[in-house]
Amino acid sequence: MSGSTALGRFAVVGTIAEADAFCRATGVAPAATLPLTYPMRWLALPDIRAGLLDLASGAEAVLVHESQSFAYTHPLFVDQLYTLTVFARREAAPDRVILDGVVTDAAGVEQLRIETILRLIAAPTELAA
Amino acid sequence: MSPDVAASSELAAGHVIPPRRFGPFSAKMVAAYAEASGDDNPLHSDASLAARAGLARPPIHGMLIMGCFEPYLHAWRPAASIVKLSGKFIRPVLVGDSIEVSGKVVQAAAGVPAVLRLMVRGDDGRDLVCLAEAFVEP
Repeated sequence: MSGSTALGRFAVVGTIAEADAFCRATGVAPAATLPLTYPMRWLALPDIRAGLLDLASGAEAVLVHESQSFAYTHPLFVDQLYTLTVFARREAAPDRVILDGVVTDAAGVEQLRIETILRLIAAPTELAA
Repeated sequence: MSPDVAASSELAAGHVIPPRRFGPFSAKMVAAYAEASGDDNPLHSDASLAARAGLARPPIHGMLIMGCFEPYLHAWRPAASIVKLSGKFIRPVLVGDSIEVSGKVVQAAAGVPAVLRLMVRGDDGRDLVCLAEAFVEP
């Protein structure tokens, strides 16, 4: 992805317990498939967070979630191992960080594309990213 | 009306999906979402941080708002498959507030997913807090 930084490839899974907790927190009925927005949990992985903060460094700002997109080719299943590949880039005017993720199955077949846009909003120093 | 006719009319352009309220979102609900999603940003739990950001109370996670779309759409059409969901967060929703989710089919044709416009309004019923789009297969 042009102009993007590779944040890495991550083995990810939504266990039954994790999926159940997510369902309880969002009101989604538990099923064999993961809730639609469940992959946000994977974007909270420490290496991904660190990469986002690196991209946002130098800004006296907080990262504010501006928009989110999930485009599924196939549903994701509970307790199934997937690979999440993540790229991110910083854009100016408006100042923001854009994260692109692709989830593939064990055979390398694409299941889901994720786009997360985080706007950098000026904030007091103690809140800055 | 037969179930088939009812189902087809629900997926016709212009069909309005009944609105539904979610919340009020308590601090406990926000904490449960933080735990389940891994998003433990203290802005969502620390009132003093929220105050320094100019907010009367901590904002709930935008993704907790977006997470309401799936139960909303499945209450409307339990067997629907949501293949795409995208949303833009316009205003924060604060702990203690409720939201109202509404939707409308804006595009429908045989053989392709129907396109739905989804709107989330705040407690006063006027302020748009999130605007989203979903692609739904019958």
